[in-house]
Amino acid sequence: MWNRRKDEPTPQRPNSAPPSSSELAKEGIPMSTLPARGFEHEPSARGTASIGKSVVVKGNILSREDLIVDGDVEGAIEMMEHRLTVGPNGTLKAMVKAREIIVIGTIHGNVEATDKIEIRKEAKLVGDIKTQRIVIEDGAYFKGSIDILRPEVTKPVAKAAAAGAGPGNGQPVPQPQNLKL
Amino acid sequence: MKSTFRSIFLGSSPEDPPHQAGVRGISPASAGSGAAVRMAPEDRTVDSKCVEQFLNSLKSQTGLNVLDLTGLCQSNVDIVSGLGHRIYSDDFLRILDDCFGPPGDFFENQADPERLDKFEAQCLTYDDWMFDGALVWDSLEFLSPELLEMTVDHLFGLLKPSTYLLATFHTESRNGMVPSYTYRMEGPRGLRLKPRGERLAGKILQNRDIERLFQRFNSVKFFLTRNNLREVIVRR
Repeated sequence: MWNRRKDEPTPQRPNSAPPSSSELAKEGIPMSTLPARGFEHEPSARGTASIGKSVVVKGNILSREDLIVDGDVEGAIEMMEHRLTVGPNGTLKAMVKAREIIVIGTIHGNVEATDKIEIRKEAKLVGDIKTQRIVIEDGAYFKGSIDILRPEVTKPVAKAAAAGAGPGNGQPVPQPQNLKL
Repeated sequence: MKSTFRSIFLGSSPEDPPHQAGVRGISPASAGSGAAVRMAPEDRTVDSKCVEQFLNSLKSQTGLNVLDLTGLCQSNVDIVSGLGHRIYSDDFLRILDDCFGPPGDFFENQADPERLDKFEAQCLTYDDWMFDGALVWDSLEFLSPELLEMTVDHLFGLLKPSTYLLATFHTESRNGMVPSYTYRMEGPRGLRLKPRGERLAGKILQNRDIERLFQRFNSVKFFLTRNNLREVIVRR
């Protein structure tokens, strides 16, 4: 059993193989800035890019606007100031970094959200998560670790705390989220 | 060998058709969804000294690694990360169903080498001495004796010395079936049991069996609850 451990590749999804690069070149990659249909998302004043469900992207994506992925992406996605939504048909085999991530579809890879990650009930996520906040709906499948990043304490507050400010003198002091057990 | 498995786990005669024997009383709706599962009783919250002791063991440090096998849930993530630790989440029962579910008998399938390879590749694939605590809950109840022993041995290797493992075992079954739950910690000693079907247990373990199972560990402590559940906290 586990004694003879080896790094086995993750089983491939049984359905269709991704089209070859020549096929992609013929068809082009249909990316649009129109909102994707079929699942809810909040409209953005600056528009939202989307990758449709019949699209396969192999390579890195660097986005300066919100993005909805409902197709397949293999590579890395980086959009530190924006929101990524993985739609119900979306499958990412990618390392993902974004400000906010909403997962309805599937992600295989490590995920970092500088602000928040939301994992919906239909989601499947295999990989490690780093985030400041996490919202989980019952029913989601997740395998991996969750690391909650604590925002750094700003200097003025730290100085006030060092000067003796605390409960009792009316000054709020940031508390770690430890439970009182 | 297989017929011995059947007589131990199912209490049924070797002449029974394998699938019927393994999934007694299962409703047609749930029969296709996995192994030996049917709908179970109500959602409830209990007081758990075991949870309290487990969480207390995590309070002296931050940055620890905690394994949780009940599947992803908000409250467990909040509590463990609130203590400043990293949580590793996995849904053990889902993996069991995926690896050993139909076709065939759930427990006989646990002796099938191909299925065991799949299970090994998917489940508990972590480094030795990686964890500072493990929330195993009722996962161990649905394993055949051989796989149960191997799994406990493996968990022993994954845990650092002097750390704790929390598990639950039913004290009685109804025709071999026991309710299974997702286990959600609520506060310092609250535990919410959210039903996820009734399943055929491998074997109802008594205190003596449990002590024997964890004999490599440093100590075993039992907490009996009013819910036919025996909570066990084991020190590595």
